Formats: sequence, C-alpha cells, structure tokens
Amino acid sequence: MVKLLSRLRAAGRNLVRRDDVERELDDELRAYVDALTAEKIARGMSSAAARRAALVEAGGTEQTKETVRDARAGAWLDALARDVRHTLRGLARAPGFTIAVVATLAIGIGLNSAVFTIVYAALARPLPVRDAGRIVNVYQRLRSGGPRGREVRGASWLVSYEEFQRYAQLPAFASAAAFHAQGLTVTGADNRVVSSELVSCGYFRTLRVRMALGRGFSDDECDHPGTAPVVVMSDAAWQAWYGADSSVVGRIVHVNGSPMTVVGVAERGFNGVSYQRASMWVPLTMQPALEHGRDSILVHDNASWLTMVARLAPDATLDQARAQATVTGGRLDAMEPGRRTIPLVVPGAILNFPEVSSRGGVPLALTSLVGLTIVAIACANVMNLLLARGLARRREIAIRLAIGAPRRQLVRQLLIESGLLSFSGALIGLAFVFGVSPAFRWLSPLSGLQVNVAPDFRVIAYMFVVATTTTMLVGLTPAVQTTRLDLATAFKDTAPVGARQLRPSRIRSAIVGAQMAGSALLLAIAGLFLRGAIRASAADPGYATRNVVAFSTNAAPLGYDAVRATILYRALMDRIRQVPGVVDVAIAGRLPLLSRNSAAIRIDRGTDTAVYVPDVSAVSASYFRTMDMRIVRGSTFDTTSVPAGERPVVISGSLATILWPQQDALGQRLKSGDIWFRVVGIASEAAASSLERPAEPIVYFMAASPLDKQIVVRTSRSPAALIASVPAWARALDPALLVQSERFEDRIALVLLPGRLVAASTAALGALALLLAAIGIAGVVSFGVGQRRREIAVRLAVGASPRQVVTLMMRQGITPVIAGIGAGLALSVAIGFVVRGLLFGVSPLDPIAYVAMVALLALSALLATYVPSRRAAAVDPAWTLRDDG
Amino acid sequence: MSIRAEQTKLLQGTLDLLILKALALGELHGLGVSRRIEQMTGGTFQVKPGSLFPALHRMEEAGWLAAKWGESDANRRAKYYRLTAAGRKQLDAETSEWSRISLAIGMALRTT
Repeated sequence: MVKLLSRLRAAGRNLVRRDDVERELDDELRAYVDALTAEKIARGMSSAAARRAALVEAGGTEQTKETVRDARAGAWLDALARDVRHTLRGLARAPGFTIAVVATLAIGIGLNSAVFTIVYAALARPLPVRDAGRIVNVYQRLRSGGPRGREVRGASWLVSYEEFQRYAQLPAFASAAAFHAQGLTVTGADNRVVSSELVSCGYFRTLRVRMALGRGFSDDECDHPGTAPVVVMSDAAWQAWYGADSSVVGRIVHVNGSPMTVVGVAERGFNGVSYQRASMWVPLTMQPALEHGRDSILVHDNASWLTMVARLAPDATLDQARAQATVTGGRLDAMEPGRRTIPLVVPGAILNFPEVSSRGGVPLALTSLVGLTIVAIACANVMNLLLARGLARRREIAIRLAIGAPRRQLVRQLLIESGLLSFSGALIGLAFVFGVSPAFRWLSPLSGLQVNVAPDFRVIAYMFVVATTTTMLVGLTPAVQTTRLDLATAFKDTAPVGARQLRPSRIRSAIVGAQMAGSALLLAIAGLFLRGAIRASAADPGYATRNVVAFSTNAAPLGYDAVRATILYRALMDRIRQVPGVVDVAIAGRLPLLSRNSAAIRIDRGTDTAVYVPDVSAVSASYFRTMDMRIVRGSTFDTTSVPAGERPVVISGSLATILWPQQDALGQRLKSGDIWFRVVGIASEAAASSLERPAEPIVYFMAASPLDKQIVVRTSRSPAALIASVPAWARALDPALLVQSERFEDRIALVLLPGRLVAASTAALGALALLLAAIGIAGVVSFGVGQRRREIAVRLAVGASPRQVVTLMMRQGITPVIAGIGAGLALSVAIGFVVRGLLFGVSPLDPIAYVAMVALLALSALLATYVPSRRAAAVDPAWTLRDDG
Repeated sequence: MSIRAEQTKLLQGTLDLLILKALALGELHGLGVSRRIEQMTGGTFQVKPGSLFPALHRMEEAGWLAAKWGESDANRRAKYYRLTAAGRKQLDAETSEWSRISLAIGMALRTT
C-alpha cells in the first residue's frame, strides 16, 4: 500500500516535473563519475587518465539514463505521452485530413449513440421511481380471446380489473398496482382536459412515491366502486393551478362533472409512469362514476385497458414471477373455454410493450441496424483515409523502420493516432446525444412526453465502447498494412505499380464496396418506408380522416334518459348541420382505429351454427355519408324489408364474403346476443384496427340511443370554428352540458408517426451515408490517379486520348461500386421482407424504391469517380515523366 | 571471482537486498553503495551504474529509500540515499525470505 502510493506520487512527479527529474539524473551521474575519478586520483593516477578510466568504468551514461527512465514509475505513461504529442504534431500538420476524419467519426459515433439513447430510453430505462430495478410490468398476450370477444382500449396486451386482481395475488409480488392513462375534464373557472391516471389504491405504495402534501389513496378507497371521490395531483399541477397553495388539500375539484376532494400532492418530479406526463390521479374504482355509469369497463372482466406494475418481493426473482403468472394465466383460461393466455412479466420501463418485442420491435431493431450501418460506413471512410495517409507516409515509416524503430512501436503510434481521432470524434458526437432530447421534443406531436432521453452513464459507456471498437477497427488494418513495408521498394522515390501496390488498393476497393452496400441498404430501406409513409398518408382507410371531428358530452351523468338525450342530440346536430361547410353529422360509438370493440355473432348455416367475432360499431344511418363511405348494395338500416322481431344491420363487404362466401349476404340473418338481425346493406370496405388492413370484417348496428355515443361531423373546410362554438351551443341547451372534441386527423397522425419517423430518419441517414460513400469513392479514385500518374503520362505520351484515360480511371473506381450496390440490394430485399408489416402494403420488392435507390447510387458514384478521374486527363506527360524520371 | 550484477536475472532481487543492506548502516551516495556492496561481499559483486541507478531510483520511488543532495568528503555535491522506515521493514522481510530460501536450497543440494 505504502509502495503503491509512493509509486503513484513518483509517477506524478516524473510526468509533471520531467525536466527537474532529468536534470537531477544528469547531476547524479556526473557526481558518480566525479567521485570515481577522485577515487582513482587518490590511488595515484593523473587526473586526465583517472577521468578517462572513470568514464570507461561507468559505461555509457546515456544508456544508463535510458534504463533508469525505463525503471521509473509511469514509464509507459511517459512513452504514451510522448507518442500522443508526436501524433498530435502529425495531425496538426494535416488539418484537412484530421478535420475530415474527426467530422466523419463524430457523425458516425454521434448518430449511433443517439439511436442507442432513444432505444435504451424507450425499452430499458427503468421507471422514474425509487428502487425501480425491482419493478416489473405484467402484460398478457391473448392467443385467442375466447368466444365472447374482447373489448380493447389502447392495446390488447393490457389487462382487465379482474385479471389485475388475480395477478396481484402472486407471492412473487410485494405489491402491485394497475393504472389507465386517461384525459379527465376538470371544470372550474375554465374547463380543461387533464392527462391523468386512474390508479389502483396500491399505486403510490408500489412505486414508493411520497406525498409532498396530504396523503395517497388508502386501500379501502378501492373496495367498492364509486365510493372514493378523491384526487391526488402532481407537484407541477399544484404549482400551476394553485400557486403551490398548501390549503389545496381538502378542496373540491369537479372532475368529469363530479365533485372530488383533493387529498394529496405527489412529490416533486413524479409525473406518473405512462408515456405521457400525468397531472392527476384518481382511484380506479371511480371509473364508472367518472363516466357517469354509462361505460363501466371496470366491471368488464373481458377488457384490455389496464397497465399493471408490480414490485418484486425482496427475495423473489423475475423467473419466479413468470412461473407464477403462467399458473394464474392457466386458471383464467380454465374459466373461459377457448381462451389462451400467455402472461408476460418484464422489467418495468415506460415503453416495454410486448408489441415492441414482437412486431413493434422491428422499427427499433431497424433503427439499431441503421445506427450500426452508419458507424460502419463512417469507419470505412476513415479507414480509407488512414490507408491513404499511411501510403503517403511510407517514406517516413520506412526511415523509422530502417533506423531501428520496432514495428510494434510504429503500430502503437498508428493506433494512438486512430484512438485520438475516434475519441475526439466521440467527444464531438456527444453533441448529437445531447441533441436527442430537444429533437425528440420537436418531432413529437405529443406534449408532455415522458421518455427520458437525457444521456446517462450507460450512454456514455456505450459511446466509449463504440469509440474503442472504432479505434481498433479503423486503426488496426491500416496500421498493419502500412508498417508491412519492404524497405528497398519504399525507398525508391517513385511509387511502383507492382503487386505490392495492389494490396492496399484492393482493400480500399473492398471498403468502398462495403460502403456502397451500406448506403444501398439505408437508401432502399428509406425508400421503402418513404413509399410506405406516402401510401399510408394517401392510404384509403375507406373513410374520411380529414376535417372529421368527434364531440362527446356528459349528458348521461346529468341524468338524461334515452328520450331526452335523443331530443338534445337532435337539437345539437341540427344546429351543427346549419354551419356552412358541414357535410353531414352522425352518431357513432367511437371512431375507427383509435379503439375497437369486438363481439360474437352467430349465423345459421343449414344445420350448424357458426360463431364469428368481428369488430362491431353502433352508428346512425348518416354515419356512412358523414365518414364518406358508401353503401355498396342495399340500404342503410332500412326497416321496410325486415321481418317483425328482427333489426336491420349493415356489414362490411369482407365480412359478407367470410360469412356467406357462396351466397348473397343481403337478406341473410345473424344473431348477436339474443337478437336476430337482418342484413340490409353491404358497406364499402374500411379499416377498423389498422391502416395496413383497409378491409376488415365489421358489423354496423343501428345506434339505438345517442346517450353513450359521440357526434361525428365532417366539414369541407377547417372545423376549428365549429370546435370552438359547439360547447357554447350545448350550454345554451343545458348550462350543465360539457362537450369534449377530438379531431380525427390528430389521432391518425399518431398512428402514422412510427413509419414516418423511420422513413424520415433513414432517408436522412441514407443521404449522409451516400455522401460519405461518395467521398470514399472520390478518395480511392483520386488516389489511384495519383499512384498511376506515370502510367497515365506514358499512355498519353504514346497517343491515348484524355477521354480514354478518364474512362480507364473511372472503370477502376466503378467496379467496387457495382459489387457494393449488388450486395446492398440483396441485403435490403431481405430486410424488406422482415419489415413488410410496417410498409402499409408496399411490397418489399417495390420496384420504385429500388430503381430510385440504384439510380441515385449509380449517379452519385459516377460523379464521385468522374471528378477525380478528370485529373488524370490533366496530367502533362512531359512534366510528369521528367519529374519522376 | 567477481560477478557483474546485471548478468543474471536471479540477481535482480539479490541486488535490492544488497542495496538495502548496504544502506542499513548509514546514508551513502551511488558510488558509496557500490563500494560498500563490493566490500560486504568480499568483491564478489561489482555493481555497475547501469544496474545500480535504475535500482536506486526504483527503490526510491517505492518509498524504501529517501534521497537528498549533500556534500561528499571531497567537497563535491552528491545524492545520498538512506533507508526509510518502509525500507527497513523491507530489509527485514527480504532478509528472512532470503534465509529461508538459502536454507531450503542448501538442504536440497545436500540431499543425495
């Protein structure tokens, strides 16, 4: 210990006060010789002879000094420092090269790390709560939802309240909670929709969230539905709405029209665990009351709507929790024949949905791949530059080898050079990583997104690993290549055109080929996604998405019955219909794509009954015109041809084909619940769950009462004015009426966002990759021209035309390009098939994307070879041959 | 017969021990250490500067030796080394280690 400390101190002194240490060594050795001389004089030698003898006996002082230096603490560090200084001097002498390399690496490493940051933040970053490492999410994948159909709010892997209560019993969980993110209307001086979480009463306990003020929810508040009208608000909301007034606890706020008591304020910085920041929490059991009893999903045991979080018991493992959850899943299946549940227990994170690991994982994997490709391309470019620089330095290196520098030392120096370059690149690349956060905010259409993309130590560690790998990757080949020199050849002033030259240039060509392959891959993916995004925006889901607004009211909780509600809605719809630009107004349960509902229907097929579970929707007759759909055959809910005791129903064309493949669906009967329906109309195809499936089996029932429904309006101009006036008209009809509006296109944009993001980012990265590759090609060709200057001069001298010479040089440059494009093409076709599901129906072999990619690449490559090749034609034979002669 | 200390690897640890021992009686400068070792070993070990100085510097950096500049008997400036407390402890440790080894080697060589 003493020794180590002492050596560390010495190492510090040796490095910092090098000159003092050196001078002292000089003095000491001189004193030694002096003392030896004095000794010999004392023995009777003459002073001159004594000095000579002393010097001989002492041996070479320089050599001694060198061994002392080597023995000193931190000697290797000293050598490293020397090499670093030497390298820095060398780099400073070639500023163009240095800037090019550092910039390339900064872009490569920076972009790659930015990608990593996002992937990590979304998938793996623990939730922003105490001891988050023990928090897990419980999801379930339903292989088959059973014959009853399943109501899905948000995503199918979410659980129902009953399922949550069962999973919460697992011994592996110390405590568990469930929540549902939802906008709630708070009325007061002004009405606002507040993003909130409906939470089970163990929520704050499970997440270990403390209260800044008041209390959280107690367990008995979740015992009976509707008995605990209490609210906890976030610190941010408390500051913003109440100016941090501590008397807020005990106050009444009106949430969705119901009075509720504020019982607490959560600690600062806690904004829930949904991807959108929550400002308010309400007990889950208040859900039916908040919806005024008309939508009791709480007691619906077959609905996906709750995200479940649990804290592992102190001695429990994730595997135990998984095993126990599987048992519970089996019990759930046993209660409902036909259902198959696969429970999933995963480490808690904000966006770790099962979709992400299956289908949704594809964009993330793709983004990672794109990130890696970018680094690889950047590396290839830098490697090329280093090789070129190495070749230019052949004479310097040859001289150093000749005077006895060990090859190992030269390789070390070249590696130090690439290390300095990549770490400077990584340092500058950090800017990209810090830029992710603002960029994310800017790109995101949602405000208050709670995905933490601020870089943390893991991101920094990742960058370090990438930079180190880059150093080895980029530095080793050129270093080995450059130092493997035949001195005899290297010393000849002119570069030979022999076999020895072919090796590095072949490597450079291979690198260019790889770069082209990478660029081709990125551009093809970008092309496919771009086409996909264009198709998706232009995609015809079968209904209008622009200028469609849905209004919902709180009529049900105000005590309206079906008759009064019908009168109210009719009055409101009549008023809306008078607005210039309104195409039509309808009643609908919900807009497609945003949430879905499925139900079992039965049909008679001769002797047997067939059961099918399509999407269902309750609409008014004007819905089809409002949504710009067509009734292909038959009519909308026309009752004239419907026998007594039956009701009319409209089905989509694809359902008609499924149910009655051989017959005309019109006039057929189907049963839902205990009621028989008669098919009176076939509607044009529409997408119910996803834009990628524009023709889904859908049943449209006639909406009986508008009570739990929305008013859907389509306008021919911007509906902004309409959105602003409807609440006032509603208040004129009944002062207690509250209206919420939602623009369909805003929600659609969210559905389209992932594809657009991938398209935009891969396109940008692809362009960058292309630029890098073009620089690489130009570098190779221009280097080739330089190397073959004499050959070109000879060719020109014996009568070759400049055009022939240019062609010759271009041919050399273009060969690896063609090979690279070919390889990239094959790769991108393979990836295209993997991401097929995200392309909105664009074929993974989409010719337009590929032709555009190849054309773009070929054009860039031609340009990149032509410009430097022209220099070949400018060679003056007389001058060149005399100069090199 | 004299042995030059840089000749064999075995002598590396031995050299440290000899230097520590040489300085046990009092401070010495470089040549003094060399002469003292010669004297102690009856001229068997002649330590040349090429191995003496690296060893002195290494041991100083390890904290076993302390050095200061002073006047030699001939009124010349010289760097004097002396044992530190850690160096004394090291000398004890290496001495007992050496005795153990030489005993063991001796036993081994006597075995027939």
